[in-house]
Amino acid sequence: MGNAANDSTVTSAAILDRRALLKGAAAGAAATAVGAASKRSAFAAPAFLQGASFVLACTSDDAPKIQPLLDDYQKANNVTIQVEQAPYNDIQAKIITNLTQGTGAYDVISMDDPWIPQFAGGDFIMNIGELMDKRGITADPDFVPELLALGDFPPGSGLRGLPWVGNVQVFAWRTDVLKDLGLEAPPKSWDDVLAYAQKITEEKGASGVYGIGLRGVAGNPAATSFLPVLRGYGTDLFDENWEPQLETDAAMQAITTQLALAKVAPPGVESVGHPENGRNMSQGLIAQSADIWPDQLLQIYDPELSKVVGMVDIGAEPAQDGVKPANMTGNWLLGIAEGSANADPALDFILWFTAAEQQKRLLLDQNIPATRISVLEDADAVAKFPFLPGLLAAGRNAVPRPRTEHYNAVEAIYGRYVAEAIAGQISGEEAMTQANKEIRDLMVREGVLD
Amino acid sequence: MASEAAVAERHATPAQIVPWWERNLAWLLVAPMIVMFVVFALLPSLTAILFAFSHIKLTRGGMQRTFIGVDNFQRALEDPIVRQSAGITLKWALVVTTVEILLGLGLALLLAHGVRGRGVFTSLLIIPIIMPPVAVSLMWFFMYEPNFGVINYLLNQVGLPSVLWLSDPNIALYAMMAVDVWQATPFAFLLLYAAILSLPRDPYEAAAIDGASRWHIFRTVTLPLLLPVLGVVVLLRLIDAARVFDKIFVMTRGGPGSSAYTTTLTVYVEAFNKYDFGYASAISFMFQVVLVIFGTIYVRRVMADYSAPAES
Amino acid sequence: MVGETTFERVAKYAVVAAVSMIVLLPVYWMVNMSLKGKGEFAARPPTLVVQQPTTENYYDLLVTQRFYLKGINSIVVAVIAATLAVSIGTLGAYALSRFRLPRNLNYHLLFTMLTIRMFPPIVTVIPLFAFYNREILGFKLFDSWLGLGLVHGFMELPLVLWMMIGFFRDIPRDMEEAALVDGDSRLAVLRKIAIPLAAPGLAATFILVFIASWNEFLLALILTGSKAQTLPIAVAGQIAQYDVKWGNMMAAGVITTVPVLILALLSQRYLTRGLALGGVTG
Repeated sequence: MGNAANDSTVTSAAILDRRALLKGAAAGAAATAVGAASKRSAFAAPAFLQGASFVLACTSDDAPKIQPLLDDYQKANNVTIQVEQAPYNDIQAKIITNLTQGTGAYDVISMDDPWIPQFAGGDFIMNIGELMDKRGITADPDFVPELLALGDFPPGSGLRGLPWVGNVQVFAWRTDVLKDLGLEAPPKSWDDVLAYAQKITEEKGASGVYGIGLRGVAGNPAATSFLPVLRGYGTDLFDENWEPQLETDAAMQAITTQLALAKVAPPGVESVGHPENGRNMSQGLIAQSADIWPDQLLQIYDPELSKVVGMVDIGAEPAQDGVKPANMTGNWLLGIAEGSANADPALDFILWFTAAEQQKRLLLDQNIPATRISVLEDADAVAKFPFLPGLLAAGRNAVPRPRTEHYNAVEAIYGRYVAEAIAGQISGEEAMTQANKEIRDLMVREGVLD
Repeated sequence: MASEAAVAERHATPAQIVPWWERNLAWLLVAPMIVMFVVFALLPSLTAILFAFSHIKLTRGGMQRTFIGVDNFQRALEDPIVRQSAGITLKWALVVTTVEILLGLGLALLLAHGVRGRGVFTSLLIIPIIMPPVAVSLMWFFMYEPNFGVINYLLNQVGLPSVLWLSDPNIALYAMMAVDVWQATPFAFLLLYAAILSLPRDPYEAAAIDGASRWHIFRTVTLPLLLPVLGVVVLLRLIDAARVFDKIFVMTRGGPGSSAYTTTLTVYVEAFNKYDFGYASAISFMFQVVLVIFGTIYVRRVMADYSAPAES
Repeated sequence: MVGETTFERVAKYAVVAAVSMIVLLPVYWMVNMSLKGKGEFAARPPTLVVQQPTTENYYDLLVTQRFYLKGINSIVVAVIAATLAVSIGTLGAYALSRFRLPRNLNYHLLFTMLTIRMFPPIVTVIPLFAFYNREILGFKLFDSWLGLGLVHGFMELPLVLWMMIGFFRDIPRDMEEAALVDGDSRLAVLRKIAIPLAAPGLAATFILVFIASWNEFLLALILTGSKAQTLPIAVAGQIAQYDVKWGNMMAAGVITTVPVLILALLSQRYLTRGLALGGVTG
């Protein structure tokens, strides 16, 4: 990362911090270079861009939202961008199989941040940092540094992607409902959340307001809804030696709470995924959720889509006494597949797409949270979405999911067991015990543990 | 064969030199077929066995294989999801096959005397059979939608409560079975109907003279005559139903929870969500062994039926 | 057979009517909903017959989201599969029905080929995925029309063999023998007599393979990436969006169904025979 000539500390730096980035900026090259890249769209495309064509892979959730920007870019630059979309699980499977096998099927890839260790560790994606160095460009210091750092794995090896969705998981609650029932907002601990949820569902369930919303679909959805609870009880998936921690008392308490919460969630929680949970919040069906993401928040605050504008507040994830509350990152980054024959036009596109102008457009038009400080602090944006400064602060303190290249397999394991427990197929204790065993077996097979 | 005698006779004429390719024509004609079999069935199956005994790590542009003996098989036998999905697969195959055969057979018997508009009716029944399973799944997914799906709408109209068709763990599997029944019952019907229409008349006339009851006639005449075709249809439905993937994948991805994970789904998840190709190959290999047993019986039946000309 | 009572006749037509409704109504509902615009789609109670039919769902899907490209992929793959399966299968079927191979190979070969029918694709797809990603003569079969067409064609070989052996059987031997005695080679007989006589069956078989390839999901899901992705895979990808475009999904269902429906009706006469091998389901 960084322009080597200007910033000698970068190669050895283990962590990207804001100061390093600012130093890069002070050298001047960075901002202007990125500016130049983004300005290019306004002028005639350079020769090598004439008629270029590449494939972009992203979730079917994102595809329609970015299409207007793609249309503009294609028109202005005589580039053809073929979008490949599928639901989260499927696009993840397609991307990983295609990347690992070097099929060249995709050029630009939209990646969830927990995928990065596997992709970067296996050299499945290009080192964009090096590509940028070659062109004498530095990543713009305007990116939220903590989000930018997610693309640098192993830390200090160089950027593998630039963040384009500044997602962080937050706890959201309906201020009006809590006030109505005389509940003090926000709930601090998971005990509070559960007590509130039970009370709300009991009192208002009949009229269509439930106490909690969470995701119960096996795999990533159930896993992502459970992780903040697990962390809120003071433990995590792994300890510092990659020993799984799901058989601990804390984990057992966490799953007990999650199952109790699932009982007071709207019926059908077993098939609730990311879109459904957001819709339940914006349609006023649920009064709390620990699994709300900014893209949903922006829908919730959008008068055209939401029935609860001005009634939802957000904050840090709840935590039991003595546990430090935190949020979790879930950013999306754009990277280039190793072996792509279109790396140059792909990089041009990524630089353009993550530039402030486009980020602001995505935020205001498509409710996609930005990854740039200037956009998150932009007057227009803050006027429309007053929670943005809070989001920026939360994002800067957020914790990523365990940074192991086996995270996808780990998530598939505990995500399935948690979902089975929610669906009533097994008990919570069995779910944790079995997940712990399988995750441990996995880490042993992969040579991480003995 | 007479034709071969004719060929031999012609070839006997010393003036004609038969080119090598004509002498070996039979082999040349079957060769492409055999090559295809080797490339697309034999080699992949052998590779799958090799994978099943290996730990596989995906690396850039390939995979790294380490021989680990029977570890994958051992693991599979202890893995609760493997056992569970085998049970679900069996349940799925047995239930849909039974229902489809009973409905198809009942309808075929009901129409045994012919029915006006038969051509239109059978054309109509072809629609579900040939519809892409994905389209069928989308169609039903939408009808099952709890809030604005047409099925709950109709239920509410007659005063019944809405049902969470695809998210209630006690219902979802059966709701998806119903989709399979919708699509495949016409298939069972068409085959059984064609067979019934081509049954010989004499035994029926004899039975009628004896004054036998209808149930007696069905049991002693129709059923035995129908048995070969029935056997083929049952086996075919069992094998196809056991391989179900697309409907469940599109409608619930095996959910809610893992309550609709069939073996195929489990293999898919192990291979393409956890990227454990070795383990996935071991599970699918065991699955294949079971299917090969049924498949062999089926093919034997089909070929027996074939050599006795019973064209409809 | 035993005669029917009036009651039975009434019951029979009642059942036929009920079955027809059960078969048709879901399809009707899909078509009906696919023609509704956003406003009418959300209407409660739903309009039983579309009031203001619009093609906007179809336009959005095919043109805006470029699904026509997936449609082209589906057609090309299916044509490759059908051409391949029909040509290879026909040659094999002719050999198996006209020549006697040593050691009862006719039986064993047919037996082996027919067992392909029950191969679970999930078994072979993993090795095939690995194999397709190797470069052979500078070309990768992965995500290519040829790659998917080849494997689809292979999967339908049993169907072709089964159908074509039946058709070749129905051809009177005398004609072929007369030609052989006249000095025509076997190959000429196949070309001049057997194939023309079996042509309608050949066409029907082609169509059945086409339909099977068009409908296939699992292999297409795993063996294509972006360029050769077929319609069913693209359609299935529509299901999980925040703002689910139900109208588009219904249009997608109709678009994937209509071509195979037309083809099936064209080849209906031969369908039952093909069904004995379950050629188009599963």
